[in-house]
Order: sequence, then C-alpha cells, then structure tokens
Amino acid sequence: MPLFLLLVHLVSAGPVWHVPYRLAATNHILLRAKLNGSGPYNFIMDTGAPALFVAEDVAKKLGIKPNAQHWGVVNRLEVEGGPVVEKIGARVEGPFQLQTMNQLALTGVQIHGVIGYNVLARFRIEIDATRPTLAWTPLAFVPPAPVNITSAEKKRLAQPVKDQKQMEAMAKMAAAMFAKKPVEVVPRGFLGIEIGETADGVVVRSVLPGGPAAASGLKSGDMVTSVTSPGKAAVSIRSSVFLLEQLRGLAPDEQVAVDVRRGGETRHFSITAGRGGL
Amino acid sequence: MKRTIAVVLLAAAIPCASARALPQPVIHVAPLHLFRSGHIGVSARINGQGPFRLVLDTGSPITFVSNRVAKILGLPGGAAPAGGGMFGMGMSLNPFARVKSLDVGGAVVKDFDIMVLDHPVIQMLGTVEGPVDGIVGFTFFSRFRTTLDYAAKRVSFTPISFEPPDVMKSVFRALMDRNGTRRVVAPAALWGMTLEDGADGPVIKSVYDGSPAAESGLRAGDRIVSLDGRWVESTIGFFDRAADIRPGALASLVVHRVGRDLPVNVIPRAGL
Repeated sequence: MPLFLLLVHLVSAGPVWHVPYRLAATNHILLRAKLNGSGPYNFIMDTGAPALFVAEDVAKKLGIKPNAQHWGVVNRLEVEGGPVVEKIGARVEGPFQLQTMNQLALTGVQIHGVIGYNVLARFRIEIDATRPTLAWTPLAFVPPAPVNITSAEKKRLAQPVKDQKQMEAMAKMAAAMFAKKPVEVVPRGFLGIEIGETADGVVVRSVLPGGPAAASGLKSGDMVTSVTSPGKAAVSIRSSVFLLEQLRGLAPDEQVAVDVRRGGETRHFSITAGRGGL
Repeated sequence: MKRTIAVVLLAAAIPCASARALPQPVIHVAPLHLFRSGHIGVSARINGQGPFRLVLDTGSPITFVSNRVAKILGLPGGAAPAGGGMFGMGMSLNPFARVKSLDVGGAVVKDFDIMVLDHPVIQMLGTVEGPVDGIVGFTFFSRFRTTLDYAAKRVSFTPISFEPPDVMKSVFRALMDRNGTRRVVAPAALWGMTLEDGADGPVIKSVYDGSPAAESGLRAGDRIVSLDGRWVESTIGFFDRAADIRPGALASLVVHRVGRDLPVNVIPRAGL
C-alpha cells in the first residue's frame, strides 16, 4: 500500500460521529437522544453542567429510580448521529433554567434534560455553527467523577446559595408572567398536485389519482392563474415557488380556491386540503 | 496526538501537495482546566489585561465577567447577583458592556459585548476551587470552530464566518409573540403519500400512483425510521425534515417493513 493511502487510513481511523443539532432562539445547542431505547428526547449540550440531567417526568416514565441524592442510572444513552454511552449516572431533576425555558416556550420544543460533563468528556467535540452536524470522536478516557462539595465548603457557600435561590424565584416569577400555552403544530394541508412552469405560467403537471385536487376536478394541463387562501384575497400566480409560498400556511381541512385556464376558458375549483399528505 | 503525528507525516510524504497548499486556517490552542466539579476553565485576557480564569460553557448563551473583573477593567457597574436574570430580564435595560478585545489562547474577538454579573454558580465554584471570574459562552465560542478535548485538556479555536444571533432580541421576540397558537409545517416538495402516527413512529397510510413515493417503491404500511440519517419520530417530525428537501433533491429514507429495515431513496418533485 502506498504510504499516502496508509496515512490517510491512519488519520481517519477513529469513528467520528456526526451529531445533528439545532440552535435554539436562546442560542442553546439542542441535541436529541434516546434513553434506554425510548425517545427521542431533547437535550441541551452543556459543558457547564456536571452530568447528564433528566427531567423527573421522563425518568419516571422510563422507570429510572433516583436515590436520595437525586442520582439515577441510565443504562443506555444514544445520541442522534451515533454516539452511545452505557451505564451513565444521571441527575434526575429539571434545573430551573429548563423549567423556565419550557414554560416560556422559548426553544419551540420541550426540553427534557441536559447533556453535561460525564457524557461530553468521553468525546472530542467539534462545534462549528456553520455546519449542520457536530463531530464527536470517542476518546479512550473515562472522566473522573465530579466531586461533591464538602460540608466545610458548604458553610462558605451560604451567600451564593441564597443568591441562587433568589435567582430561581425571580426566573419562576417571570416565567409565570409570560407563560405561553404550547403552540399547536400541524402538517401543511395536502392537495396532491405536481406543478411546473411553462412559458405561459404555472401548469398542473399531474393530479394524484384519489387525492384532494382530483376530487375537486382539477386536471393535468390546467394553467394556475390565481389562488385564494382561507380569509385572504385572491393572488395572481406567476411562478411555482410563489404558489408554494402562498399556500405555506394552509392547514388540513381548510379550503383553497384555485382559478385555472383550461382550453381558453377560466375554470374555478375549490379544494379541501387533506391531512397528513405530502 | 496520533492524528497530529499522522498529519505531519502525511504532509512530509506528499511535498508536492503541501507546496501548493491552500491558505492554512489559523488554529489557536488553549489549555483547558478541568475543575473537580466537572466544569472546564480557560485563561482569558480582556482588553490586554488578565489573565482571568473563566468557565467555558456551551450552555451559556452569553459571555460574562464578575464585578471584580469589571472594576479592574473600568467597565460600567454590573447587575447585582439576582438582578441580572438568567434570560436577560435584568433591572438594567442594557446589561452589556463593550470590551475592546477578549482573547482566549490567541483566539481574539474584538469590540465584544460582555455582561457584568456575579452569577451565584460561578461564585460557588470560585469559593471552592479558587478564583473564577465569569463564563465564556456562545457569543464567543460560536465565532470559531471550537474543539473540546477533555482527555488532552485543551480546546482549539479556528476562526469561521459566523455571527451569533442577538439572543436578547430573539428571546424578546419569542416573549412578545403571544398570538401564535398554531404553526403549520410545510414540506418543500411533493412526495405523493400520506402518513399517520403509529405507536413506534410515522407509518405510510397510502401511496399515490405515479408519485415519487410510488416510483421509489414505498408502500402503505412502511414505518419511517429515519430521513437523511436523522430520526423521524412522528408525522410532524417528518414534515419538519421535509421542509428542507427541495424538489429534485435525493432523500435517503430507512423504512421498517415486515421486521426489516430497508433503505429507500426518494426524489420528491415540485408540488403540494
């Protein structure tokens, strides 16, 4: 084997996991992971947390029983993209920051926990916000367990502990003030048409047999001239991208009016959008 | 280390390649202090002063320093411990102060907004483990390709062109946006199938004749396991991913059919 190839092999020897993430509006890095085969659940990747944190309700659902100090064991943590850690200690508690974020619906998803030091330290982790995934490379390194604070040290911590409690109380108060009901998320309504563009405008290339558009009488070859979304004025259609943009917010069971040109005539159709189709 | 050695050897083995080398990205490497608590710390210089020991925290949207450091730097007074608020809901309208530079191991961000805050957690850490003066958060590390290595006890920063979004603005927007009770998730292309949620994830309910889904061999009853390597846990989850798949793009699915996982490629077309 040429030296060159041998070396390339060496460089890429370790498995690198490409971990998908999402950046929340709060600039938190959100990962998904399965706990003991269940999930996925949403986690914040947080080097500022000493361990894996799992919200109480999730732990309860999965039968993860914490001891008196709130520590439990997760038999298998599988992070989306591939990394797996087995028999990992987890704090069973939702830090107040999570509760606040969830109450305020700041990230768009329910956060179920935090992935911290005792998981993260087992990997070399590359964060690049211009890329869709993080690179996690397993390390032959078992991180030392985080050390608990001694009782002598605790005495010196009275003031910060008091401050922390006060901060939590304030965050909770603010969260209660701004608490937001969870947003209902629905799939876009379905028409069942393939569209394209010709020199004359936007054309229905095909109508899926048995779909909502077929039921209304729309046919392939129809030229779409305008659409009217529920509660809106009719809009002239000049491009297929524009048509899709106009109907972005179409919910299932809503009606959309479509004007088409067919053989020199203008025809009018009303289509009831289907549910769960794409 | 193995990787570094290999890269060096590789460069030596192919001199012609390195001779016409692309501009090398600058990589700044800083030692990582591992606290007993599991936190990681870095040494930072602010406006050329310091070094100050700060916690490197991927869970912190912002970067902040203690009032002690603010005083040394002559920054305007900060917020009281409980007044700063975790989410910027502090007493002051602008809790940020601008510093000329923040330097961690040679990785420098200039004209940088920093919060002045005595965070209780940082105070606890400081009480137990010696001086700690704040947190390096997303506003700093996201401007670099940041590589953490706990085993080697180092962090590296390679500049990238990323400007972190203003978290104060986006949180404020999220708080003010109280009317949105429904969000519609729109796929970017036509697949030609309907989905419904089953106990283990979304299941294909029907496949339309002549559609991209039919042509790719998808069948009613198939349970969708993943799309482009990402887990799909629900119909909405599938629609969310499909929002990024343009007409004509190749989508790689894994579906579960009669006890087996099968790969299926679909090329959705323009439509809805």
